[in-house]
Formats: sequence, structure tokens, C-alpha cells
Amino acid sequence: RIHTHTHTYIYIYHMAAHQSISIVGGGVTGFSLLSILSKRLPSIPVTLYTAFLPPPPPSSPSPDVRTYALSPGSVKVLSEAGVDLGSRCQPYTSMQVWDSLTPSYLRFSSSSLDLGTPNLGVCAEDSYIVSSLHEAASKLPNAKVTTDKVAKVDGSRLTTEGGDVVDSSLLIASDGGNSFVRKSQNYGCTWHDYGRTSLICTVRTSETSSVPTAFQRFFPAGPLALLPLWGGYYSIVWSTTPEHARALRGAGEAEFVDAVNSALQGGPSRYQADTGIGLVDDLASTLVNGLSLVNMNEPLGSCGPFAAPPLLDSLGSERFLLPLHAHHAGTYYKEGQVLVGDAAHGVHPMAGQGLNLGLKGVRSLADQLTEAHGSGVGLGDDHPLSCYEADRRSDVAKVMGGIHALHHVFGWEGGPGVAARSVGMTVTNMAGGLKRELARAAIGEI
Amino acid sequence: PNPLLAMNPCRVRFLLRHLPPPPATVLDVGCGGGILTGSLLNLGYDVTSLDPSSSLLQVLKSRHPSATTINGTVESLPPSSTYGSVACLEVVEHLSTSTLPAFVAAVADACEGTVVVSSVDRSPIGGYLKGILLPERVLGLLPAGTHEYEKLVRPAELEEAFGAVGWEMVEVKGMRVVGGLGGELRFG
Repeated sequence: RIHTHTHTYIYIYHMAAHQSISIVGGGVTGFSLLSILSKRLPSIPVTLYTAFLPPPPPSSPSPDVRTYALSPGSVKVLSEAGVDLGSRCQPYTSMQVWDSLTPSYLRFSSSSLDLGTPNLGVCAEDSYIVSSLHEAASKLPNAKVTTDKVAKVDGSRLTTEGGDVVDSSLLIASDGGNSFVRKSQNYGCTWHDYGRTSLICTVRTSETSSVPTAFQRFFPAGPLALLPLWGGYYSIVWSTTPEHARALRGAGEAEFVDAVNSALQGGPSRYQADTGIGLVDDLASTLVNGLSLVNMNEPLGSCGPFAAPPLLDSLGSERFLLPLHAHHAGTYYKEGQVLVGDAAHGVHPMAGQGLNLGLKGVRSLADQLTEAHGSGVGLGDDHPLSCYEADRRSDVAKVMGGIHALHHVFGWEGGPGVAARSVGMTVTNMAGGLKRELARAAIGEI
Repeated sequence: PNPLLAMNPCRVRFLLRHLPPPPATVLDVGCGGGILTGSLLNLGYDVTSLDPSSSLLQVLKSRHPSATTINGTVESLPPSSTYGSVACLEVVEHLSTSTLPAFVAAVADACEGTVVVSSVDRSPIGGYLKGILLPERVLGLLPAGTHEYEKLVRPAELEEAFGAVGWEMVEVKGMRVVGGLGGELRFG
């Protein structure tokens, strides 16, 4: 009378109600979801609505100006989505961060800190990633891409400009920082304008470096990042005041390259603390100068020696300006609808975490939907969406808060603040344990 | 957050380990508003939903118009009614101890294959602290009085009750929360 069934079966389900997913918004996040969800849920039609189809992959030897610093975790997500970066990417194993007002610096590498990843991150082009994702999705029978424009959204129902009404089980909004879905559906969004602008371009150098390193120097107005690409190219992201950014863009090419070089190469060799308390000033200055000077030549503790970034020869692309802000949606989901990527959250680019946060969201949402589907729970049900928000919201808030704090800490121009941050950076540079935690946060693992 | 909704995926996965594949027949005893019924229907099972509350059955019908419902108790089912599998989720902890044997006998009679029971263990930590005190009195996740400690059943007692009518316990698994409040429920 007792039947014990021991069988393993693949979860191929016959859902009583036919389910489908609509994704609004192309880009890395939208196309990643298209590919991953189509693969994991082969019986569910997934349709992506995007303004224009991705162009064919870039073939020029010089890298595109629009690039990302992908964390090892992001590379894994993209790999599941079918992206093979191949040789069109630049892994970097070292990161160096330093001040502009004092000689304090922080340097770490994936190998010396035993992080368990082959590198700290990989720089790759947006255009290459998106076209790879598109190609991977085109091989999946249940994945579809359309350029029909979305005119209206209501829950999981969308209406195209042509008048078609499309009902699905779940509508995923991956339509960027100025998300049409988020705005038209009243999600609420806290928006912080940094009053800063990033200048983005590529530059060329003839110097060859043995260790591909991501460099970032903090100025009071904001950081100047130099990220390694290939073929002698580097990516520049200079976050500064809008006036300064405009001046840099308007400058002649040679003048601009000179400005970048002097910003990266010049700087104080000595620090004079000005906290106002004599004893503190002496201690701070001695510590920072002494340790930094020593470390630059003969590293103590677990820090590598300070490496001057390469001298740049010429501009490699047009210069683009991007106003900077941070934002966080009031909620990540409504009935039958969910926000992913920049539609849900945005951060200052100084930590290179924008896309990494987005792809973590992609993985979390895909996991929740796969599990829900395997338990007979509808794809648009509140439960998987609420679990996705619970999983991501605190992580995003933490990262956003950390970056925000960095923005303020490095904005100080003198006094106890600069003393504290310089001493802090110098000491951290030598403390392996603390530096390891910092490095893990930098690559998006915390 | 609704604890029943949060528990559902975990319970369904446990059921799927022991139920034959769809479109097998399943009797959902104490189906309530139809959380389990809905999932099983989505997975393609032939579900009959049983509950003594006609108002809850109305809620179920409004969510799943094609569902087969029976307004009544398992003891009141005709002897000829049998189903491939029977699920009694969050039911036995609401019965008084004296009526448990008759309930178990009726469930066994209605089942040809596998019975799956999900309930709150009568233990100080799992049962009282995590099952009653926290959800009802501290966190407000459940209305006070939803569960009474005296009515909670221990797995050993269930095994004994089913053993008395010739049934054997195949697997016992606990459920725990992974990831803090708002986290997920997993076996463990």
C-alpha cells in the first residue's frame, strides 16, 4: 500500500495558464536577462522591447569609448548569458588609489591578497557585450527581440505605439536611469545630484606595462580614473565640476593630454597636516610622509610599491560628458512588474560598480524566477519579486552609501579630515587583513 | 510578508520529491484560499481542493475558476473516494489531540500512494518560540491565537498515528529560514 517513488525528473512544466515575460529596455541588463531567462525557462516565451537593434560587434583595433570595468562576478553572469569576451577585453590584476594633496596611496593585487579570482576585474566594451548577448539570445527559440516602441505600460500589460496590447505574466523594466516604466508607474525614486560631471574618453600611450593596473587619483572635486584597455589604449573617467569638465572637453587635444598627465604625475612628496593641534599634526605628517616615502621605494607590510601611471601620448576618441547623480527607486516591484539595473538604482561611477550592481540584480531575479517556476509559483507573483528586492536592496544601499561616503571623504581639502583619510589610507595600505576586505568590496564581493 | 506564501515554494519542492509526476491526482486537505492548490494546478496536477470553510473555497474558486472543490472534512468523504496522493499542509496542528487518530485514519483511507503532512512541531524552540511567540506576539506576522501549543503535533506522534493504520514514515525534514527576516525558507 505504500509506494515510495524515487525518481528524478527534469522540471519541464505544463503550466495550466500560458506564461510569458516581457522585457522593456535593451542594453547589457536587458539582453542578459533575455538570454539567461530564455535558457533557464525553455517553455516560456521571453520578448525584449528595445529602441534599436544592437549593431554588429566592433571590429576596429582601437577600443570603443564606452567600456565597463566588470567584476569577476559580472564576468560569470555574462558568461552564463553566452558572452565570450575572448581577446576583446583587458583583465587587470592590480588597483592603485592615491590622494592628490598628500603622498598617501593604496595598492593591491588579486594575487597578493589571495582573493581566489584570477584578476580584480576586466575592462570590456559595451558594444561588444551587447552584440554578443544579442547573438546568444538569437540561438534560443523562445527568445525574441523587437523594435516595436512601447507607448504605455500598466502592470504586466504593455501597449505598443502601433496599438498592439501585449499581456504577459511579468514585465521587467531594464530601461535605464530615466526609466519610462518607473516614471510612468509611480515607483517613487530618491535622486541625488552630485553637482559633478564625468569626462569620458580613451587615450593612447606607447609605454608598456608589465602589470595591468587600474589607477584612480582623488582630487577634491572628484576622482580621475585610468583603466587599462588593449593596444596601448586606456579609458579615462574624470569626475569633476561641470565647469572643469567642459573646459577639459573644449581644450585642444594636446592641451587635454597634458592636463591629464600633469594631474596623474604631479603631486606632493610631503604632507603637512593642518588639524590645528600641533601634536596631531606632527604625528600625522610623520606617519604619512615616513610610511609613504618608505613604501614607495621599499614596501613594508603587504603593500606593493607605488607605481607611476603611464605617460599618455594622445587622445584616442571623442570626449563625452556625463552629469553624475545617484538614485534609488522607492520599491523594486509592483504587481506583475519589476525594475532591474539602472532603472532601479544608480551610483557615482568612481567605484565602477554601476553595471556590476545591475548584473547582480540580473542573477538574483533570474534565480528567484527559476525557483518560483519550479515550485509552480507564477512568474509575476509578488513572492519571487519581493524575495529579489529583499536580496538586492540592502546590498545596493550599502554600496551606494559607501561610495557616497568616499565622495565626501575625498572632497575634504584640508584640516583633520585630510589628516584622517591620509593616515587611514597609509595604514590600511600596510594592513593585509583590512586591505583584503577593502579589495573584496572593490570587486563587488561584499 | 505572508508566512504561508513564503513557505509555499519550499513545501511544493518537498512535495515534488515524493509525488508522482503530473497529471497525477492530489487531494489538498485544508486547502484554504488555495495557495498550494494554485501551485499544483500550475504544475499540471489533477487537484481536488477540500476545506470545511465555504468562504475560503469561494476565494479559491475566484483565483482558480477551473478548480475542483469539496466543502467538507476528510472524515466526511465517501469511502470510495481515493486519490493518488494526499497533502495535509498546516492542518494537524489545529486539531485537538483526541481527534487526531480518526483524522489520520480518514486520510489514509483516501490515499492510494503518498501522504505529505506539513505542520508545526510541538517543541519549545521550533514550535513555541519560532512557531507561535515570534510570528504571533512579536512580529505580528500571524493573528494571535492562530496556533495553540497543546494542539501542536510531534513527528513521532504522527508516525505512531499512521503506523496504527499500517502506514510507514518515509522522510521527515525541517524547514529553516536562510537570510534573516524576509529571507528564504529552505530544508535543513
